[in-house]
Amino acid sequence: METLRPVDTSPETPETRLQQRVFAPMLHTERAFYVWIGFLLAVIALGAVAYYFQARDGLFVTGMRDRIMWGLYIALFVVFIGASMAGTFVSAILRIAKAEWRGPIVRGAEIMTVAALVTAAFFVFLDMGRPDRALNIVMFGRWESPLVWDVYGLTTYLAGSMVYLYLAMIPDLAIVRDEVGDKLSGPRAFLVRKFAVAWVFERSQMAQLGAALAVMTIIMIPVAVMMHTVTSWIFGMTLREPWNNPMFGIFFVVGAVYSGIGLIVILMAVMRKVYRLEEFITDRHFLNLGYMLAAAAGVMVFFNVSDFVTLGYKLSADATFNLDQMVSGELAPVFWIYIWAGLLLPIAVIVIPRTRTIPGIVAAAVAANIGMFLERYFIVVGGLRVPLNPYEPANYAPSWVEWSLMAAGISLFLLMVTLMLKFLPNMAMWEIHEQTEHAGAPIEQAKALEAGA
Amino acid sequence: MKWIMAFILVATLMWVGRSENSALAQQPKSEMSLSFVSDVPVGTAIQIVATLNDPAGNPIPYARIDFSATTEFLRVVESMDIESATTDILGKATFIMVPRVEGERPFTASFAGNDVFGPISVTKSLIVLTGPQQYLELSPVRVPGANKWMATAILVVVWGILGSSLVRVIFIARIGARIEESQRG
Repeated sequence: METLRPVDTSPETPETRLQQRVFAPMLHTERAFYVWIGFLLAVIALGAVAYYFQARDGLFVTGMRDRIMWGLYIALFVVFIGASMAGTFVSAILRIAKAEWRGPIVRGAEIMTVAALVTAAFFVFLDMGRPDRALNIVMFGRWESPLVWDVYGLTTYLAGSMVYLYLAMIPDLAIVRDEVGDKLSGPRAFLVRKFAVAWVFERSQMAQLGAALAVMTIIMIPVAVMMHTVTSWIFGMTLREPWNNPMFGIFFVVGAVYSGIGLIVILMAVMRKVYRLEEFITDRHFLNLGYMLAAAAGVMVFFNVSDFVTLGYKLSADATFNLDQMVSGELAPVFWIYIWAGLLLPIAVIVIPRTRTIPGIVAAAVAANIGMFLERYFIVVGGLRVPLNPYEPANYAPSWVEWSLMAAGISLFLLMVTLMLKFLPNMAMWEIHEQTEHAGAPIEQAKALEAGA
Repeated sequence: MKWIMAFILVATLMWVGRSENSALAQQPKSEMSLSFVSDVPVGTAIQIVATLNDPAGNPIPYARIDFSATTEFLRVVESMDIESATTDILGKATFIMVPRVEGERPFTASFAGNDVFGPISVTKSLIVLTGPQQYLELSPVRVPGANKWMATAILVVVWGILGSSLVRVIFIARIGARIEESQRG
């Protein structure tokens, strides 16, 4: 029986070093891990207290009122929907493009997608005045409503992302089962064994998995685009001047790709440091992701210029209010930080060779994500500030309840990512191995493979 | 010698320029009036007429009149050229415009002057009143075939593809089980 099992088991090879690095967090728990988890749980507990007040007194405890009825929660919902674009979409694009450097990146990105989608749903739940009626949208929702489209889009994307994450993880679970299965605790060993589904690195198994992954890779791209387009339509289908933009769908998709790539960069930097993966997540990965980040930022700049030039040229009265509030009015600080720090700074950092370093690219990614958060904020709040009738524009400031629940939501996201990176293989070992073989294995590994053959 | 020549040249040019300015100052001043309705609902076309006469009240034909509006955008107030027209034999320059923004809109008609008459400009305000609301939400267009059945079909196809990918996991498990069994055997 011909198998594709990596034959190189010498402790000196990159493959074994990779396995050691991946197994380390699964087998050993450092004190810092407990401190970090404790901190996240404490923030979530603070959010639970805030939610208690919100559930008891209603949404009146937030800064939202009748005219600005969406605020921080919906802005964060869009932020996390954008973050979810990172994993599955970027990973699928890299797989289709056969980018051989994708190996160390895709697993973390796919994990981030699942965690981000759950967090996005969490913020929608927070925004409900009557969460006990959440299921009404499934039972009584009208098909004509973009909210219903979004519910189905989100559940489909979440299901697809989980399937995609799982399929690509089967060979790695088998490696964990074979190499360190006996060192895992009973329930974990049982789960790893079950989810590894008798994977033995046999060629016909690989063919089945390859076919499944190929189909998933192709289907997940339109599903991800659909998800972000439908999210934009929640705004775009509402008759409000700032949202009255036929390009909103593609604008959201590109924005999601941009912030998503930024989040992957941040996650890679953290993983590299925490799990000591310097050998596998290299300058090259940061450089390539940095170029993708700069390209996405360029497209965002183009969309913004196109949007504002056309808006200003055929200026209507309500567009004047919107432009004014962003350029020199109430939302001007948010808008200009978004333009300068969120879009232009990352491009500059990556274009200038001197700053095109790992810390520089990570800083650019952080700036990109802060900028994109501010963009989502002024899309939501700025859109609702434009008066539809001759009254004074309303203002909005999040209350301590909203800030607390924002912190809790972010902590929930970080908690899920942390736990998945600890309990699951945090890098696609089999893909890295496969790519190393295709790209020309290092000399030591090639020798060992030859000896094995 | 070269410096002296340059000095003479500059002095000559300055003298010529001063003569021209003094000639301009001696030109008779033209007179201009600007007429249009005092107020108009937004979105309604109006005719703006500038009439240019000499001091004796005779029309000045074939003179170019520039129309500009004072606009405020993003807290910057500036003059924006909107039209140019040439006066007819009655000294009238006319153009038609549709005001789109409510409020007081000052218009300026300017004559830059010519060999005979000096420059002049006149400003007058138009009150643009609230008109019928033009930004109304109407019934959406219904796309034929876009209904819950189409949406359901899309969802079924996508979920079917997800399911079929998961079914392959069963095949993978069976292959693995068969191999393990043969190895034991």
